[in-house]
Amino acid sequence: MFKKKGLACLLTLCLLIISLFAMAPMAMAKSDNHLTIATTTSLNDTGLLKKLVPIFEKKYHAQVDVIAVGTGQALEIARKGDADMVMVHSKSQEMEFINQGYGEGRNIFACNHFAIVGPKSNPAHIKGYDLPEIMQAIAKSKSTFISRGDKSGTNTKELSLWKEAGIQPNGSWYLESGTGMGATLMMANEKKAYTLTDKATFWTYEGKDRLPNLTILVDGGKSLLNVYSAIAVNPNKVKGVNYSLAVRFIQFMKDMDTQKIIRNFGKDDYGQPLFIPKILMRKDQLQ
Amino acid sequence: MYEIKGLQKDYEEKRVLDINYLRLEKGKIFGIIGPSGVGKSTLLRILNLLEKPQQGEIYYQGNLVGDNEKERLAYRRSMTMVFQQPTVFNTTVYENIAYGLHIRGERGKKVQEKVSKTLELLDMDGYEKRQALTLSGGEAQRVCLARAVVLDPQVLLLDEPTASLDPYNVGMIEKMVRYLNKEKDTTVICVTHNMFQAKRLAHETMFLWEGKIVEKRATEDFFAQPLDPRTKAFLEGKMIY
Amino acid sequence: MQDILAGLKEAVQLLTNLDSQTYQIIFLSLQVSGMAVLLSSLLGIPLGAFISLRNFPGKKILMHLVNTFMGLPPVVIGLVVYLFLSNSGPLGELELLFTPQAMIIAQTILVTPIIAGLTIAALSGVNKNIALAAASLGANSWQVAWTIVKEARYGVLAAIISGFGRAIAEVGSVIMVGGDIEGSTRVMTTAIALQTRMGNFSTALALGLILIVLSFLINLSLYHLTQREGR
Repeated sequence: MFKKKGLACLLTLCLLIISLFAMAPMAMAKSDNHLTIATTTSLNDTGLLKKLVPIFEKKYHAQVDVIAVGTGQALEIARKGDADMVMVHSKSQEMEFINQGYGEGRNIFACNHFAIVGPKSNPAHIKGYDLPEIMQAIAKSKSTFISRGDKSGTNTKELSLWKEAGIQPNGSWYLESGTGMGATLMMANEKKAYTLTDKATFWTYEGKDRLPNLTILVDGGKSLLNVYSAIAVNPNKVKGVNYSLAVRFIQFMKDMDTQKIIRNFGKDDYGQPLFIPKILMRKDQLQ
Repeated sequence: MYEIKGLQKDYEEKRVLDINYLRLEKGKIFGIIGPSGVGKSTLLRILNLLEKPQQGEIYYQGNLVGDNEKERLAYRRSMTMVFQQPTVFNTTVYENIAYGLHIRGERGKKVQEKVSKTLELLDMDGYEKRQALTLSGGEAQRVCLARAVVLDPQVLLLDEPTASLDPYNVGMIEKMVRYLNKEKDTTVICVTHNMFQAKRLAHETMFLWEGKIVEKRATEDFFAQPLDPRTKAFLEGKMIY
Repeated sequence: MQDILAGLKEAVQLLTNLDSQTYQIIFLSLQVSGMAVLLSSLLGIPLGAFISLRNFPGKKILMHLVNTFMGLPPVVIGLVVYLFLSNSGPLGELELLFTPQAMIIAQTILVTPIIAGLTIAALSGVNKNIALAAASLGANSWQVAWTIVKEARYGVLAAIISGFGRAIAEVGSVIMVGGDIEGSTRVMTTAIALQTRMGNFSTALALGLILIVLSFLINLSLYHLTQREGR
């Protein structure tokens, strides 16, 4: 009786210890051909990196770890040297990062446009592309607006829109959700509210019939430009980062073959591509 | 066997034990009687090194029981105690009785033999695999006695061991005590409320009152003609306390 | 409703199709939380026994501390461990960040107070006379402590099970120190968070269902091991 129980315990213990040793190689993997990229959840969730990273890994015999968190957190991780480079879409925060000496320079590799979505009834009667006018209309009508409130790329853009319109959004109509884009859209759907979103997330959720009350009201325009860039962490400021491999990855992102993949990415799933690759971006868009 | 000198024990300002001198010879059965809460159990616990007195010296077989941990453990292992409430371990009867032997590093067939012999003596053949917590009060107390005596102690301390038991169990336990004393020359110190039990078992009986040993004599004389008036009053049930 | 039913269906599909990603995630979850609970038990049970059975100055304060740490938010633990293991932190040299080992460390810190606290509770429920009985039979203080732990073994086992439940179900700390990296640090809970965020609710539910069933099976087998004693 005791023997059987003891045997089972011993077996489980052995399994655990063996598996621990099996995991050990993973820790040793931090070497010259190991790259850690900190990126944003919205970029990661499009699936673009999932497509591109294996190509890079194969070509350069590298191992790439992608950490997807909020923009603020991605940059903070990079400052601490826990990532070798970042791929984000928030110019003001990127410039701060670079001015602090942590980053070498912005390497734009693609862009797309945000969209303002809202209830089909459109109580604020917004239309067209004059963003300051649009934001003022929303504020004046006190129509419910959901903000990400989390220093994400989307949030940064949203705040700049309010700023350009000369408005400090405040009041019971302005809600800061602190959740991811998908959850924010669902909240906007529930409350029949306006919000700023990237199109990929919107199409994904709309495709699953989760946003019956929402529709895209403002679909582009200069103010809604969303620029993605990659920044290598400055090895002179932060010790222990794999600078050479980061540079190589950034170059890879700008390679013609990669840019072609980016140009076509998303066509199958969304009917139209999700990104405009750098090679197709106009001069005035390269900001 | 024992010489106790100047023993003092206090509980919260109250002096529970105040024994100037006590001598207990080897190989006898001693009965301790007295009112409840007067220190009888405490005395046993102090002898078993389960409690520490404020003051006092214990001499065991001529040697002072000192502060050396190893010596104290060896000393403690030469005696065992059975408490008033049967406190069995949450496991089988066999494991309970074998406990002391396992602690001392004994294993295997020898242990099995000792356990079954002890169970036999207490009329509990075949009880080995029973869960100790499912036993009746009397059976549990017999198990407690079994696990104490299987160790062949030099001294057996009993704290009102049969207080809540039926005559059958009382008889079984007393039978074992007498057997031990006769066959193995075990010294027995038994605290009891039961005068008849003291008369049946003890060679000498003593009366503990307000922490002091008031009287200590051969059992027959103790009961027939108590010398101290307090003893007399207690035995006649006339003592008010 | 629809999502839940779809989730059930997908759960069965994921398991029967022997989807390697799913199995890798399941396996890693068990490894990380299993190892964490093992380490937490090795630390927490003796700690709990020490606090419960010995008297020393500051005993009450220590007990309050243990109770407080039982309720530490996983996210906070994750953040603190992250700061320690970060390249710019004191233990950066070890290069443990974003590895399963870091996740084990974080979960061990999370679970040890739980096991310690529940062990203390289990041991204080043991009859005080047990210690006396054990000592009177010749046990030294280590043996008495061990005997008391054995008396409370069902309570201690419950402590371990609670610890495991907490570990396998938490996401806050493993996501911070592990990074939810596909193929190396993605576990069930982080995968569920990811699927939810991406809007794949039925997949998220499917994984959640698998997690629940897994926990149930583990609980069942742990209790079965103890059943043999006829309890």
